[in-house]
Amino acid sequence: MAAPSQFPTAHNDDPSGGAATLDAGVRSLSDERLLTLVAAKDSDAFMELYDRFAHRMLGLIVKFVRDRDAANDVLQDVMSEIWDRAANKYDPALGRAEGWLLRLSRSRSIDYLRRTRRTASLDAASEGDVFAAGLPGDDGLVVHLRRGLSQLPDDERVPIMLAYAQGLSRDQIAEHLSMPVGTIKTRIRRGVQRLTEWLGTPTSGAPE
Amino acid sequence: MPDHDHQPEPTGPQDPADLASLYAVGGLPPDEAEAFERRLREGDAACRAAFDAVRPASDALHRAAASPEQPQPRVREAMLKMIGAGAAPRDLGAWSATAAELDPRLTPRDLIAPDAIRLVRLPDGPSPAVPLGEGVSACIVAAGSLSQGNATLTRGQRVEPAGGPPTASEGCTLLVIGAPAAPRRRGGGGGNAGWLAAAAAVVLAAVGWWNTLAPPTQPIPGTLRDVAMIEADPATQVWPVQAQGELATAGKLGEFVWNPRLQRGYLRLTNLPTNNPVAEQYQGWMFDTKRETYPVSAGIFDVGQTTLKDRGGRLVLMVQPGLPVKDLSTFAVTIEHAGGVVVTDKSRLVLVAQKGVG
Repeated sequence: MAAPSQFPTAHNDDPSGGAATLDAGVRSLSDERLLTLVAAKDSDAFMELYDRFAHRMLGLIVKFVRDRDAANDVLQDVMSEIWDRAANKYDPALGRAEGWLLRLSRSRSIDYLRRTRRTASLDAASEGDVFAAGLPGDDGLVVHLRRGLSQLPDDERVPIMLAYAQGLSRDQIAEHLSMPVGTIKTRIRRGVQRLTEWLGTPTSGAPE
Repeated sequence: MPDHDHQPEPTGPQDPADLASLYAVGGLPPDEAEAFERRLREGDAACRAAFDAVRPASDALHRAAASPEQPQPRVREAMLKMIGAGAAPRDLGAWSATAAELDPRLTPRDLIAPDAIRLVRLPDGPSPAVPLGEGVSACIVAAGSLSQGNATLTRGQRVEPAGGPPTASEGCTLLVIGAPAAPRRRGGGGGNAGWLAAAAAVVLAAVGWWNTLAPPTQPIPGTLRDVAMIEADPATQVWPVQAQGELATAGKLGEFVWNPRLQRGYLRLTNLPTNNPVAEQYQGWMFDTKRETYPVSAGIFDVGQTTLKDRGGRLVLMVQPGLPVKDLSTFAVTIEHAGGVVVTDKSRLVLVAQKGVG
């Protein structure tokens, strides 16, 4: 469920279940509302955003950069960018704040690899490396996703992993696989569609 | 897995479904990804529908890759330095360092009017350091109490330098009016003093409301600051909110408070049914006479047990449109499916506030 962007919401961990008192401050705000405040240069909102997401963003960045010191540098750059200007670009139409932050983190990790003239060291087919472990409570998602990916035909899974894990663009994938761009688009589209439908199925019913 | 072997080929190079799928897995070149995001922000319904269709896969890929890693402490320290937290506020005179010492959590966001008004939480106990000094024109107890000489000052009472150093504070938050910077207002007259006095009165009222809800143990939250800013500004308009459609029997539910200069406002409602955010959400809409096509989305929101309320029990829902609204004629709320919509069919219009309707 997408959370609100401009409104305080019921997304609150207040165990009392009572009305959110204002002393909860930014801690009671939804992720999307936090981003709105960050765009308005609210420093408390920014630090709350950092505390909520930095560890997940870093986890994703490390997967690509493979160097913890460098990954921390990238995280710092991403957070600085969010403070300086990126938060202004967030819109609920772009999805939930968490997804947007992680997309930005991945994108800047890829930029870093390009800047340093490196490529992601991941094998396109080794999604186990990218999705090795999830958040506590997300284990089911990771397993489910990996199963879904493993069941995709290779001609769909490989382009998806080349795009996601290695940061290759549609044209680069086509060149890499010596295939027409249109074919790559079709295969990624079909693969993503299959994956989306797979993710909509109950995890307990997932076949081994 | 579903079988898509017999699906038709995509229809063209800019097919939204292709773009959305590539965007979802990060396969668009940066310029095309940015263009796609722009289309989403601008309300391109085809792109939005295509993106919504693949968002579960996109979100799952990112979440599954984001196994938590503890950042190095230097990153957080750099962030604090970047945003200036803990630094002495600008142009606050000789007492600014003292204010920072009083509460290191104080940041520029606590300034109601930049460089002019701020709230300072005093530590409980004897001999509190009160930020009286050069550049401070008034220091007023906003919450709690402060002992000065034989007097116990409570909300609304001034701390006078002639009264000597305060001897004790208990739950005390001070409203400090510093050297008046030029307020960002146009027209009018009356100078800064009148504006500051009005703003101070509003802030005091707001602090009273806040204090009723919770002891002032934290810096003043952004929501209160927003409310204070909106209410202090003479350009603020208040329109009654009328229930419609399935809520029509509720009649007048409260007010929509809007400030066109600040481009911010809020709904203050006596009631609004709790929604199940997994199934459906409320979505705000702003109808701009200068915008000929569709209303501007003012965001989606939920109403539940933890929604902010004022001391009268009224829901307080902040509004800040994603796009500038030049001439607001109507503010409306609809019920939409979870995640909201780009263009509403208004089939479940539940609240309406109109300019000029009192």
